[in-house]
Amino acid sequence: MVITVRKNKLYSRNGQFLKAVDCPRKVSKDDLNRQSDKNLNCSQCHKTVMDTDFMTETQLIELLHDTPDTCLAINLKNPIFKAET
Amino acid sequence: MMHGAYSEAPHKFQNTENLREVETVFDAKQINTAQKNGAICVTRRREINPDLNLTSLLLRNRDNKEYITVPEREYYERSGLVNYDKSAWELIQEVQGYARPSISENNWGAYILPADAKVGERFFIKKLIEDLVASKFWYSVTPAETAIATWDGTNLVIDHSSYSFQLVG
Repeated sequence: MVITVRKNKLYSRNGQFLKAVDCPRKVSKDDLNRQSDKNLNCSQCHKTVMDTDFMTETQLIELLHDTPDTCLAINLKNPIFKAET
Repeated sequence: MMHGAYSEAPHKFQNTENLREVETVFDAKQINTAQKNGAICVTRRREINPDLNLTSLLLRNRDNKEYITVPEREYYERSGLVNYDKSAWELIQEVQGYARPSISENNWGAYILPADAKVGERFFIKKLIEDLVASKFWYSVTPAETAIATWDGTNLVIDHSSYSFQLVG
């Protein structure tokens, strides 16, 4: 299972829209402070940002199903993502 | 932020915008020849980039003598926290390296731009002089090999957004 990233939007394997990853404050990973292996803290708005580097596709989809507004940090080198232009 | 432990092959991307290309040279004679032909020459110092330093540990299992290299004694994988405890794994050596293979015996190079380069014009650099990070993931780091840069009239300014690999939101 691979999550497709197209124009900063995430889609499941069956094409279902999952989330837009587009911070309105244009926060970068450098603005995030690590709290734990999966949690980062945003220095701009102090929200918790989920680091997806060590999550599985299933965990991420379940997370977005339960809390669709969760902030995410995504590395496009992560093999669970497939970036499309 | 911890150093990477492993390096990936240099990241190259194609000149999909069909920008004019900048030639890279590492020899004074080549610069002089280019200047005589009217080209614009911009020299660059090549410096070690600390973000490309690699560190890892070479460990050996005390029982079966198996060797392994790991980023640290404790690190995260997708399955969770991995631990190579001192009681089971002895440290053989702290491993150090650098993610970008040497591109020249010298610590400098020069970019050769066409004589009619316009201020604000974007160029494609096929062979970067500078040691830049293209991407990082888990414990691996990938150096950049190509770049897009803008000529500002006196300098060739690298566009770091070419290496955008992270999203937040």
